[in-house]
Amino acid sequence: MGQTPTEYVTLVSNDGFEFKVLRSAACIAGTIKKALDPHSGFREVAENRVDLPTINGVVLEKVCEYLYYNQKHAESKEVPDMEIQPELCLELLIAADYLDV
Amino acid sequence: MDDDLPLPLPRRVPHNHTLPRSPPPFTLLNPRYRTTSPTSSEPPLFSSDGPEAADVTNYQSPRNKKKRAGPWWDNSRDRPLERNKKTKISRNFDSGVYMMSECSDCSMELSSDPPQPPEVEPNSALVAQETFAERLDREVSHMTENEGRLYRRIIETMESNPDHFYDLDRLGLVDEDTKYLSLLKQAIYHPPDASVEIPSEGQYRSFIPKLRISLGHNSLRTLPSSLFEVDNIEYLSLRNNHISELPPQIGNFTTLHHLDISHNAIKYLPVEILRVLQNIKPFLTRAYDRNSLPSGRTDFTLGDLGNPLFYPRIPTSEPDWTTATTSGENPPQKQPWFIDFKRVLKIPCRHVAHHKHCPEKRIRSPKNLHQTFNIWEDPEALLEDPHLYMVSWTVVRYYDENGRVLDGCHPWPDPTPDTNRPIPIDSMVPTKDRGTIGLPATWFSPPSISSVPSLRSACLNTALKELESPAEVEKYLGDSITPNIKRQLDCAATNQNLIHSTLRECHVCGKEYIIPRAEWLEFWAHIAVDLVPVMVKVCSWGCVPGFIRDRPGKGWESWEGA
Repeated sequence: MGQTPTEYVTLVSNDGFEFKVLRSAACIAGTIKKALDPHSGFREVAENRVDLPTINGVVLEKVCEYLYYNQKHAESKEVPDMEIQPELCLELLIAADYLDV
Repeated sequence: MDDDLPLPLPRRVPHNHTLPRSPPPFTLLNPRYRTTSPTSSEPPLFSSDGPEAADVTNYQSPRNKKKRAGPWWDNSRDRPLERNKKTKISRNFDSGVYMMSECSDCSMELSSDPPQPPEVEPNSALVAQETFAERLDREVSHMTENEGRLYRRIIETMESNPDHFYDLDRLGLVDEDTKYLSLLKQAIYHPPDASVEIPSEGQYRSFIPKLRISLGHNSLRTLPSSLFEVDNIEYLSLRNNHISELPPQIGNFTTLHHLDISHNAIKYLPVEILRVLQNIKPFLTRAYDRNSLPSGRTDFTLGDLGNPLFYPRIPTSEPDWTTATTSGENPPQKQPWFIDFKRVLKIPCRHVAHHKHCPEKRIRSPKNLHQTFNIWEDPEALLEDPHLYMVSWTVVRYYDENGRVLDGCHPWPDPTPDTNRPIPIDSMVPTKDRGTIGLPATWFSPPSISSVPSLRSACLNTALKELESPAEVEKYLGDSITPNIKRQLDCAATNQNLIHSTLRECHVCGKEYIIPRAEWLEFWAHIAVDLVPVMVKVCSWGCVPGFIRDRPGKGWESWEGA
């Protein structure tokens, strides 16, 4: 507590992969934003680290890619499509629904 | 020597005269012997095998070449020789086009039965007629009752009706019965019958017909997708069905000159209808009637009576807007409101850049926006005048990702579903002299103007493209499905029923989506149709163009930046 929010936060998948992501990008996902809300008092706020026990490393990597893609194109008019592999899309869908993104 | 053994009687030499006399060779020349038939010999195979031809010397008697109608081994029937003397050319009823016997470009299955030989002489048109009917019966027998009725009606019309008017009314059709409508793409003009018709004017016409199709008084819920394969539809009637939304593919019917959608449940038309209307050019004569409405000056008609169509409500603080200024003495019954076209700032199609479907997307210099023609003062100018222009639009309704209206949006009228009365809706009209009329008291802006699709919808789009149907996606997801995903999949299934595709196409950026994030109505005027309510749906809040999203200022100057 009282810690200044860092620029990067760590997202951890259920198989132990850690992804360091810009805080502003990570907060595009509603669930992560709530977890990192400084007023919430969750453990995640102190550690700047969010454990995601339902998401595996492959899917979480794609989620991180999307978060940066979203941040990059937030202002632009012509947004290119992000490539989503068909074999990944259903797992990614569940993860996206969980993360509210 | 009496008991001499009697000598055996000498065997009698048979008399020559008891034997049948074989005719001597020379008797063949005698005509008396020509009646004997060669019973013991095999039937002659060749025409020269006959008894009268046994001798090369027989060159005096007339020799008839036998013409055999049957196979060489079947000599039982002696067909009359004169059968082939009269050659009658008649139209071949199974030309391969109607009945698909050639099956070259048709995926429809044909019966695998070998062709049965006709029971009677196959030389009359009556027999061909019979096989036509029989064949139709056989093909129809594989189908459901309604499908069969439709198929039969189409084939019979093709056969008998040279005008290509397909009266498919009152067949009790529902959406599932309509797959054989694609048969209509095989319709051609009847080729001229060379044995009957004298070459005349129009003999060398194109075989491409102008189809007129009437599907009235059925139970269709949408425009059948099988019709999209058919080109050259000139007249399409969908009267008295249960259609609630026309699919965007209606924009492909660019040859359409009459569209009748009366007595359905249609509230608005898709933006793509503007593509049809754009092809309808006005034509004017010198003797322009100053007192008549400009409508009726084209060869296009749109029947839209009896639908709960939106129409713009003009604020009552502007009383002169509601006077019947354009309609002369007899205001048409259909039009529940009247607008002063003289004062409307006409925004021609080519200036409205936000529609993907407008072929000319560019906005010219802002000055051109004010360039309007007064058709009442200068009818000649109508030829240069945009014949299709936007008159007014409504406020935008924004949705969240699951299709719920955002809090604070300007409310839209919610009509009761069972009335077919037109629905009034507040709309904004830009004018030349008074700025924009009809601005609402409050103005709602969306929380963000990002155009990035959410990860959820991006994944769902991929899944729907890879898998067959929303139900299959649901099956794969199993227990991990959430209410939000279920809701989106349900919307995809609704899309499939209404527009024959699970994904819609954004009218501004062209991306695919399931649930629109924003929609608004635009009212377009065309000189052939009074006013068309057109619903624009977009895939993200960022796709709403600035001049629709932002509150208009007092005059049009604020609009120029759009």
